[in-house]
Amino acid sequence: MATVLRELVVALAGNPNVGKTTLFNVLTGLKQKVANYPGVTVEKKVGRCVLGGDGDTKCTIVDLPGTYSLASRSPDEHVARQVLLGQMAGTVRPDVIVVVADASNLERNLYLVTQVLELGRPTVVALSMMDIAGQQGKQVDVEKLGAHLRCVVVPVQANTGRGVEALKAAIGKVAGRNVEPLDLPLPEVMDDHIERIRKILVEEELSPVDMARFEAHLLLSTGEDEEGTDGRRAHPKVRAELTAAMTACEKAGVDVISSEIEAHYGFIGTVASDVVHDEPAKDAQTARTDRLDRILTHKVWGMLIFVAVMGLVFVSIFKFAGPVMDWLNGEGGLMGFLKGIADKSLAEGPLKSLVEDGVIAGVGNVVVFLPQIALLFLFIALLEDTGYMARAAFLMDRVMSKVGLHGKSFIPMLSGYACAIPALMGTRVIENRRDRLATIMVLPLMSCSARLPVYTLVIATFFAGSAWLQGGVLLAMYGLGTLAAFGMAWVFKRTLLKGPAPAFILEMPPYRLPNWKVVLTTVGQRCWAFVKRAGTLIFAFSVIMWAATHYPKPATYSRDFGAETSVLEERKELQGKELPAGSVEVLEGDDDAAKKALMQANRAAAGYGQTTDAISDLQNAQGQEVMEHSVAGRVGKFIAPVFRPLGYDWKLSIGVTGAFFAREIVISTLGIVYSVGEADEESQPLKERIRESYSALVGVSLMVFVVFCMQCLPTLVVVRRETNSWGWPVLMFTYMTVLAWVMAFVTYQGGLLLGFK
Amino acid sequence: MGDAMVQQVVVIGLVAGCLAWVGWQVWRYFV
Repeated sequence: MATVLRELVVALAGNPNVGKTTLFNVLTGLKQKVANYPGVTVEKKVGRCVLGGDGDTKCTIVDLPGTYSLASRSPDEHVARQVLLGQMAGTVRPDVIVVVADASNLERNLYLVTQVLELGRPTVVALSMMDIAGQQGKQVDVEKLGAHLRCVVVPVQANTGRGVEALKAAIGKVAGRNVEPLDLPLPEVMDDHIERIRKILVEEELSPVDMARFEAHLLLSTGEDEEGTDGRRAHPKVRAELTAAMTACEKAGVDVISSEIEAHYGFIGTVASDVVHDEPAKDAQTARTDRLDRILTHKVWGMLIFVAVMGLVFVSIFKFAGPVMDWLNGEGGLMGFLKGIADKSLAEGPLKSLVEDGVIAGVGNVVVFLPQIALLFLFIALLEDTGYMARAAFLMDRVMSKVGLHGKSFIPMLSGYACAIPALMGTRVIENRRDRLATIMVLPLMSCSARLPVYTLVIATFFAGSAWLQGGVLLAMYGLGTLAAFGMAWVFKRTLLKGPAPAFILEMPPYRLPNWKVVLTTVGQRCWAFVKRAGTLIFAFSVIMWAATHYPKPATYSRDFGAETSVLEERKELQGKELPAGSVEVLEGDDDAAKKALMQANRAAAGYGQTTDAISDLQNAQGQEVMEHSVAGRVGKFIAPVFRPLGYDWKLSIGVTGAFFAREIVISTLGIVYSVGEADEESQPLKERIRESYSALVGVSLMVFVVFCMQCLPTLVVVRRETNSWGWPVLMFTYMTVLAWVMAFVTYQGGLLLGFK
Repeated sequence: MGDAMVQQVVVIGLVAGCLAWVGWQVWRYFV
């Protein structure tokens, strides 16, 4: 056992999606810190753990970004390499490297493993997904693998905790050991030049002595550095030697990149054929997956099934969430309950108005969409977890390659259906800078969950009837956004971001039953994020919008509303009291139903209903005057001409403008605007009031605007961070806003020409 | 909470608070 005096630093490396993060969580529990590496937007996750065994060695675990190699082609790879080499500011060089490798896909995973072994540092290979390998009929001989790699190999199953203790023990055991780096045979000319570059790196102090050979090797074998992440290439001596090396290799007929890859895969091929045993008899699941794939990834059927699956998702959103939402919206539901509380506990005054017409009408009208949001997330999580999303990406690869991108770009785009922000971070897996930028630029066109409330409100308002029709319209909106994303990608790849369409290898995970725990946790987290957003951003905007629609109050009104209302109130009171002959007996009796019927008949006869309507009309008229005089009214009327060609009045204009901060503001604003002057007894759901005020064509024009418009401040900020410039977010905002206006204009004016109103 | 004066103070506080919060968010994002 090696004696370790200070705390160990352990780096966790591995390909994406091999269970690295799960293992990190199991090892560190809740003792984690997440930050960014200095100067880049790559997440730095650090946690602590106790190794147990003798002396209870403590260690710090650094979770590196998931990468396929250490070639430093993408920001993630660069960070992983810098940390492993101990060249990342603020991060100590790791004492032990744990490489997580997927046993069901050993050959691909061994590429990174062999690169790490070339570093000559104490390394442990954690073999994950052994169960999936088993299901595929693959048996991995762990001991033989360890012998080939000359390092400790530990099978782990992070989600059940199996093998985690053995892994901890292995980390403690290898720490401090001297390790011979793995030396793979390269063409002589490459070897010679690697040695020369190594000498320069040592002489110029560009690399520590024990890492210099590995670094020289990487510098030569990774070709051009498009991202410019490795500053040492710019050093005059290194650059001169690299150029000389490339010329020499070219003369000798040696392609440095292929030679490097061949050297690794030659070794990996030998290892894999010796340690992985296929058992064809156990191949039932693979065969089933293959059979399913033959249909689900078929050129025609696959596409039809994809559209049908998405259609079913949207129909279900209306079918199952609709009744819950109606209940939440109704008198006996959440909205009624909250209004009841506010009514009872607050006296008439500005605060009551703010709570009822601002907070409840604004936040409440957004929160009622939670069931739909939850269903959307549930379906997305289910499709991801069963392995269907990878098929969708494969199907889309055909379309994507036509627009100049590859299927790899479609995976973040698919997650853009939930939210653009994590999807933008997901683009980091795309190595080529131009492809990554093109993907980023079109990603916000994918309809995110914040657009869903706007779509469903409009659809429920104007397309009442079957859930099939409603689901179809919703599908059309999502389809429109997706098509626009493809179209714009085509434009970008042909203009600003010109470049060839890249080749793409997509790994298809086997189909499996969803893990309910994972699915429900994802749904729970995303729903909580939605509620939090409603409770903070939408709340703040609702309060501001309430103030903007209520103040300043007009000094004088066009009519004496106060006097007119008191006359009507008096009449209403009298009409409520007037009783026909014989009613006293009924009222004194025990029959409640009879009493109620009598009162209603009496009120109807006396014109009680008409008086109530007249009071409500009067309050609405006063509300209108207040609103038109208010800040929002004036701003709305000022900007209304911009939106008039799209069919919007000043109220919708102010909603759409406010929505540049967050899309849901369209709804909260309409909720607030249409609660002004609303008499309690006449309270109707928002959609009824919208139906009275706008035509279906305006509704469709609004949806089209929302599909295309860049109405999300956080997205712009993330785009700035990811692209490291203001130019791209400004361009994104401009092109999307112009596109939204033009498309809504075409929709509305085209609709008018076709005879719709 | 019936007093109109109290209501007015709470409302002004809330509106000012929300405006400040939104302003701070925008500043934090862009500056």
